[in-house]
Amino acid sequence: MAAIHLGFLPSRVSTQAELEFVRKTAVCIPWHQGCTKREYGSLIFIGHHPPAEVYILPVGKKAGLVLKTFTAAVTLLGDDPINYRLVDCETVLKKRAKNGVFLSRLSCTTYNLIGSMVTAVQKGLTE
Amino acid sequence: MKVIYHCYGRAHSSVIAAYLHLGKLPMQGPVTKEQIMAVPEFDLAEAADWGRPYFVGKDTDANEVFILGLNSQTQICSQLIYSLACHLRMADQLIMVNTLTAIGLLTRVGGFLSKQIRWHRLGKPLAARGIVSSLPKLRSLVTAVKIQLQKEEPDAEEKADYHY
Repeated sequence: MAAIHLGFLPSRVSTQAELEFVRKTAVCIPWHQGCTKREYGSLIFIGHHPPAEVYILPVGKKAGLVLKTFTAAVTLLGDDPINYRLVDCETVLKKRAKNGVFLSRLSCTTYNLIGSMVTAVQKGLTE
Repeated sequence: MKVIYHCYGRAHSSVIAAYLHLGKLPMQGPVTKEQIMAVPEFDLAEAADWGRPYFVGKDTDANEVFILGLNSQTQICSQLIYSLACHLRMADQLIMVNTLTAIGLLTRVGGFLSKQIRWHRLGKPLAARGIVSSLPKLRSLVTAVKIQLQKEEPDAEEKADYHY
């Protein structure tokens, strides 16, 4: 999703051939294989897309507590949680996809769902 | 500087460590089980409080002392807080201390009975007894934190430079 947000990948594909091309392109993107357990809980900067900076945050299995801690920590450290837009990437993919494998099993429909979700986030940032 | 003492449920070891840090419990001499149980926050926090730092007080050097329960997500959540602090350029303003390393089986069993099984009458005194026996370790942990804080504290000359 971060790659789509930053324009590294298109937000929409029409054919399986396009999806295959995206899949091959995605290999060049950092963290395309997913994060290691050591990286869980780390804010990883992916890129800048005005007006926002885009990060990924691997949260592990208990996402609820980690995200609650995130919001509380932001306040504790003197920032405003409103400056952060947390997007749960797993809402589109019902099942937790295995890192690195999911793009190869992705259908055009699922990919486009992810793309539309990213577009909605981008719209929300500019409004 | 912000000091966060964190443990599993924010109800036992982190509370006592914070109280030791703030001088509300003595750093030397015996402490009774009753004294531990009289601490207002002891055995108080519930699952809903996990993940939210709770402000306990300021120490003599104006460092803010917090307690925090991170359940089984200690590693991920503490990494997240540090990561965020780095992002906000506040990593040097934060010390996170895992108090679970200082406690033994008795406190864990007491905490489990009180918080999971809801046998407060049995669990709370047991946890308090465990804390009493773990007090030397908790005190040395707090002492190490205080030493660390003194190292981080800029000396008077440096402080004066900040005004210019």
